[in-house]
Amino acid sequence: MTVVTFIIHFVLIFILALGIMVLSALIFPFAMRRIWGFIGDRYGPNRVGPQGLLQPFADGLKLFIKEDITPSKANRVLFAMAPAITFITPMLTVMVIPFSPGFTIANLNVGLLYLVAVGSFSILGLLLAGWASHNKYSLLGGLRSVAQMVSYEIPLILNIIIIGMLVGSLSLDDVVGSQGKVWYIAVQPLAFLVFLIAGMAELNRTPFDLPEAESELVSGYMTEYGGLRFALFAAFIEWGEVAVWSMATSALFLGGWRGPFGGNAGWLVLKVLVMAFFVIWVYATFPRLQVDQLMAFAWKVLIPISLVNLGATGLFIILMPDNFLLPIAAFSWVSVVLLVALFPGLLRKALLRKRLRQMENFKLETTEA
Amino acid sequence: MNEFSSAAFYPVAVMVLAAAVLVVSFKNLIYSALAMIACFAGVAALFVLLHAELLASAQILLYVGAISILILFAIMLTRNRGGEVKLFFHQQAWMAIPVVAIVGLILIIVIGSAHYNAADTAQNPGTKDLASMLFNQYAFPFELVSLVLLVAIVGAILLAKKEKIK
Amino acid sequence: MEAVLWPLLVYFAAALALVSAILTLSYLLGQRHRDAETGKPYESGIVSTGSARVRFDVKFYQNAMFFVIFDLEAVFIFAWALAVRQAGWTGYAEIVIFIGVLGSALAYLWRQGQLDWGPRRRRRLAMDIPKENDRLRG
Repeated sequence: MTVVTFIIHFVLIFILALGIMVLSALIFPFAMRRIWGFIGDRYGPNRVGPQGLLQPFADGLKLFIKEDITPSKANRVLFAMAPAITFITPMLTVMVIPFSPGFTIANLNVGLLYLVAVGSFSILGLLLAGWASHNKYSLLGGLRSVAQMVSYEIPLILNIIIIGMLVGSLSLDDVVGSQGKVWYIAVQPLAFLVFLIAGMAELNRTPFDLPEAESELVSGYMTEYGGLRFALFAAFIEWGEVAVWSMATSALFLGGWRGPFGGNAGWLVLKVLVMAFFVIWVYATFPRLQVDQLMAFAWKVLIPISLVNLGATGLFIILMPDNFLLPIAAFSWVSVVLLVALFPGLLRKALLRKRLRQMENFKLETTEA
Repeated sequence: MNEFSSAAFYPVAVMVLAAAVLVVSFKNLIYSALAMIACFAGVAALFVLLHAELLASAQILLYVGAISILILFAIMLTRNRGGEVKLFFHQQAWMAIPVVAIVGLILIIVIGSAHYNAADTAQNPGTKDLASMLFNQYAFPFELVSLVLLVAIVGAILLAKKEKIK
Repeated sequence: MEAVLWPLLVYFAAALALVSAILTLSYLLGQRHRDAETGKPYESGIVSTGSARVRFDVKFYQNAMFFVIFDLEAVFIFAWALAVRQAGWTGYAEIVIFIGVLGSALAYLWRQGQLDWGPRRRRRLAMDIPKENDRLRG
């Protein structure tokens, strides 16, 4: 490859990654508000331009000319660095996504590991943002987001490993390539379910948006950020990550660029839009979890399920090395059905038992006193 | 190592060393921690140059993503809470010279006396070979790792228990 | 792979430069104020007291420690996922023992109540307790 073609490729790649970020920042927040409006039987923004379509530009322009405040007590260097560090994450994750047959920016042979490794940059950025702002809300928001993201990262990794086992490779190109006959959502619905939940938590989306719970923490780690820095966090990073995460989910479970009439990038875009709609839909439907419920759910439910699923998947692969998809699918589907049927009852029982124990303790304490 | 990666080695190595020097020279512990993270990332880049992609990704996942959070939390939780501190290193910088000299000498002797086969690195054992080696030749150490992690969990619990007694 | 490293570094730098450029532009375009309240932390309109460098719950640190341990475990399982077919039954036995030990660590954490956040006991009015207990017992 000559230097010139290399530079051209490089610039194109950069524009592609940036385009994804900019488009998601323009489309998704606006789409979210309109869909929310529809679900809540309201209008949503519909005044600027036809159907309010120019609203994102108006918002962007407004934020652009807003004052760029750094609180006087804040650590100036880290305060400025934090959004930049977080911004890097989706930009880097895009690199390993297969967009269409034969087009992946960097087809790493450890792509799956890269996916989770690079994802951890944003944790660092949010923690620094929360700490550098020198604000109690920001600090708590930053801490909460770190605690939540690290806890949900483990089930996320474990379920990515399950897909890696099915494929026998850690390259995302191979993952999409091996889904010619059947998408992995049909083979491993259990892994998909856990991955979906953990991913929503990783993105700090409702019902897991505790780090920015406006009723208790104003905006969490981005409380002190204003103007364009706020836009970077609230539009570019959050929704850019939703877009990139949707791409990763499509590549892992939904066949990536595959679809009827020959696979191309159009199918990937469609899948990303569907996933983003799903995220917004959940956002408008579910209430927020409590911190203790949130943490307990990752460690007590998702991680054990993922470990069992991992062991079972490995067992079937070794047991029937030539034809393992069918038994794994059977196992996974049965587990999902059982889980959905039994989980609410089990949860209710466990909560009742816990409360009973708490009250016994309290009763003892009061009678002793 | 082909020419391209050996040309890449020097800037990366300089970056790692510079980051390491910054770790001990910053007065603000949070900056030190960030310099350390840059150092970790540089080591990951060195792994990439050696075609050890699995190690590079693990380095980023574990050190840049996990250990760094632990270090930052530790700094934010301690008494100074991230304020400026006067470290041991800042007062006795001259002591560093003989210590570095001794450690450097030992390293040069040890590394110089070891026999590295240039063909081994060029052969580029794939990630899969590395993984299957772990489960055949190094099965016992691998199982020991799980016990070490178990002890670490118990330790993590005990650490906070002590706090509560106070 | 090394062909990937240089573009990656340049890409990293380019993304950083871009973010800085955007932020600088917004800094230049934006208004400037230097009033008494401009630099104060926002605490919902209430005058801020004390420092924001509060000592937070050690549970956050503990959680990070558990994360490091399980993250390490996940990296080893990644290695197994790659070699699952070559390693065969011996590999499977090894990973089951490995996951089993870590699973018992998780069970130990659970039993010790380390996975429970929030207050240990819910404060309730003493007079409500017999009533609620009866209701829960059914």
